[in-house]
Amino acid sequence: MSEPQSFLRKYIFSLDHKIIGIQYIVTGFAMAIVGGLLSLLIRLQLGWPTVMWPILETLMPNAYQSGVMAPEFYLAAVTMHGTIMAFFFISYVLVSGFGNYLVPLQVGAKDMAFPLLNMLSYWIGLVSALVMIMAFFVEGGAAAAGWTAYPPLSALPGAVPGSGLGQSVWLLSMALFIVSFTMTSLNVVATVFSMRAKGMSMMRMPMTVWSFFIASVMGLLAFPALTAGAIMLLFDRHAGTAFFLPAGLIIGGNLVEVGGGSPLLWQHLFWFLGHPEVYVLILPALGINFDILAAFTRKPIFGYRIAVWSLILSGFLGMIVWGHHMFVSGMSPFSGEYFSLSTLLITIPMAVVGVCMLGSLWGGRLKMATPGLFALGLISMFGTGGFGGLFLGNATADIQLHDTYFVVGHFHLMIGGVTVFGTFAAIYFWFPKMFGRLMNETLGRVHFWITTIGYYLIFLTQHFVGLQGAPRRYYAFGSYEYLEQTATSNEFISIAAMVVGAAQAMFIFNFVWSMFRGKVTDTNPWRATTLEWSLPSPPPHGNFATPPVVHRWPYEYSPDGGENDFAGQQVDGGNVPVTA
Amino acid sequence: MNHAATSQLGPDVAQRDFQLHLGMGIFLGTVTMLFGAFSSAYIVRGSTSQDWQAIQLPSFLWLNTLVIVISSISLELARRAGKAGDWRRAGIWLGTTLVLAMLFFGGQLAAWEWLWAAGISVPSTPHSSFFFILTGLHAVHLLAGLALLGVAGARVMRVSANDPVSERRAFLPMSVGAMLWHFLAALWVYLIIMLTLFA
Repeated sequence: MSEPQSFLRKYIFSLDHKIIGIQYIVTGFAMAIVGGLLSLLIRLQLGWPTVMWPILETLMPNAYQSGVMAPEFYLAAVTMHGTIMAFFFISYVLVSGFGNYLVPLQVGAKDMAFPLLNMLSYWIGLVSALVMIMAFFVEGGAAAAGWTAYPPLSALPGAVPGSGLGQSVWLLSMALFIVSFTMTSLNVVATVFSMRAKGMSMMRMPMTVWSFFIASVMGLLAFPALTAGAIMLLFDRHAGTAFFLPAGLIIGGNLVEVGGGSPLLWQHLFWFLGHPEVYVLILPALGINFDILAAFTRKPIFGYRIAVWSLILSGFLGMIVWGHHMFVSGMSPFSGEYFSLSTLLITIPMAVVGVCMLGSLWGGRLKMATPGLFALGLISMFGTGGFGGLFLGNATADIQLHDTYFVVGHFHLMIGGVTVFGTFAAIYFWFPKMFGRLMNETLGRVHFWITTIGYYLIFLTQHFVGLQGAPRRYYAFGSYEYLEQTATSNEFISIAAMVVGAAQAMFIFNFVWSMFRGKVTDTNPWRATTLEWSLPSPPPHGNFATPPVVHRWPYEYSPDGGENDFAGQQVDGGNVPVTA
Repeated sequence: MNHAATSQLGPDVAQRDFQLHLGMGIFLGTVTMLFGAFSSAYIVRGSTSQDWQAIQLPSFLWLNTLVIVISSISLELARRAGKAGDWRRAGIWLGTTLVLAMLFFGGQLAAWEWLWAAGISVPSTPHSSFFFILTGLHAVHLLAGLALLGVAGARVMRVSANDPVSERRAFLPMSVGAMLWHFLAALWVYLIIMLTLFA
């Protein structure tokens, strides 16, 4: 395929999966800055609820009245923080970004199966992100019904200020997001099925590709439920239907005439997407982690086959456990029992994955650079976060802990810890492939240590605040005597959050600085085995000059091999260190 | 497009054809889940509420059902004729399909009009809400199918027999479009049964 020459076709309206991947990564990080700043505003409020911030009032007069955050803005901030981080940061950077960048390279293809669809996916995705940001500037402000958009709060335009135009904009943005994400997922599945290089059997695919493949299949099957829900919610909001509006609802002293619907129906539809979405985000982080661990332990990963099957099994189970988010919704105890049992069943494949990761370290020759450190940090987050999940997956314990900060702490270690650590590990690892330069190692290490320690200080403490009974989504705890004991913890969490936030600014500086000034490196600085490392950095348009032939699995490392301790998947011949 | 013609175009083209069919297959998987989600909502909304009131649907919708099923059969005949390289017959059957498709759309519009005239609109009852949304969504997907078949029709009219490139260009939208069209015909039968017999 010929390479386009004009700047516009080459870097802006590009059909090249690598450019599209980087576009997604940059867009995702831009959104992360917005989502991250929102979390800092939330922490300022929770840490020091009575302190006045005149500077914030100057910057955001509608959000800060008399220097203190307005309660309506607090609701909008938590809603938008959750939405942006889950859908527009992790989904974009990790799944759409790295999925696009890595899948064709690692299966030995020249591009995605449908490059035009891929470009459309990015541009629709960008519009979706911009529409979501726009919600802050419409009358009434951004959506405020939580990232789960539960009706009737989200269905009645007059419920709270954010339930007005902001909620409609939220739904429009999510609809565009689903279209964009479906296009990417379709491309990943089609590429894996139809474009693998000769010799790249399914069981020779790197874990990274496996995890993107499973995540994409899950996305394709789970997202339509939210599409259906969003269409019905839009009709409830604008066409007078009553899919989700219950009978006898009174708003502002007036009886809402429309009714008879079921708010629980929305919860089922939302969580039929929402829970698999967690796996859509986490599985790629786990898959990537296996590949990075192998390069930094210089040995094959432990239990490749069983890890692949465990990811598939956990993906399948992840599709049928959504009700565990609804234990307190008044569901039948039999349903609760089913959802508890199926949720706890997931611990089996997930524990297998965790053990495989730990086993991958055993006997390895650990040579740690920043990507390897983040890979280790991920295992730690996965263990700690998963441990909290054991309590929440059990209906008996969850009824006590539901909607407390225990839940907030838990999911920030999993969906906000495992995925973010996977994202950072991937950035530090593949940055040299993208730009031909290394990121600064010292800054990387500082970034790792502050982020890891900070994460634990913030989110473990939140577990304990939750055990003390602090409910999530509350604007301030001052009015409740029993919550006065959490004031110091909240202040402590907020200080830790500011420090972690500062470390992320350092990461962004490192990323941009290294693009232009980073140390130039050769094509394979980590001496890794997957196909992309056999290409120049950055790889040329069309990737492979001649279609590659794959001769071995991706984990041909030997901890005792000295300088020649690895063999790339494309290397032919028997004279290489064979380890498995 | 006979097998010999395909092989003349090389393995890359064969792979591309496979990919396009695969892409449509994956897309149909997500559409199945979309209508599956609506179906479960239909069951839940219907079984948990006091205000469910079934609306009377016009009986000519069954005739319309027959129209879309026959259009599916005629499209299959067109596809098989195209595959065998008999482009005249393919053109006739494809033309028949397009006429039947327009007839179906006409029937669909008439059904909406009929309900409207009877004073039934989207928010009238939960059953009418589902009827309008599901048939509307089905129609949107049908439009995509019609666009593909339209492209196929234009290319079949200009196809040069025994030119593998031209034959492939005519056959591909017909073949991929047929996947979508058969699916939508089956989906329609499912929807009409759900909306009438389980109202």
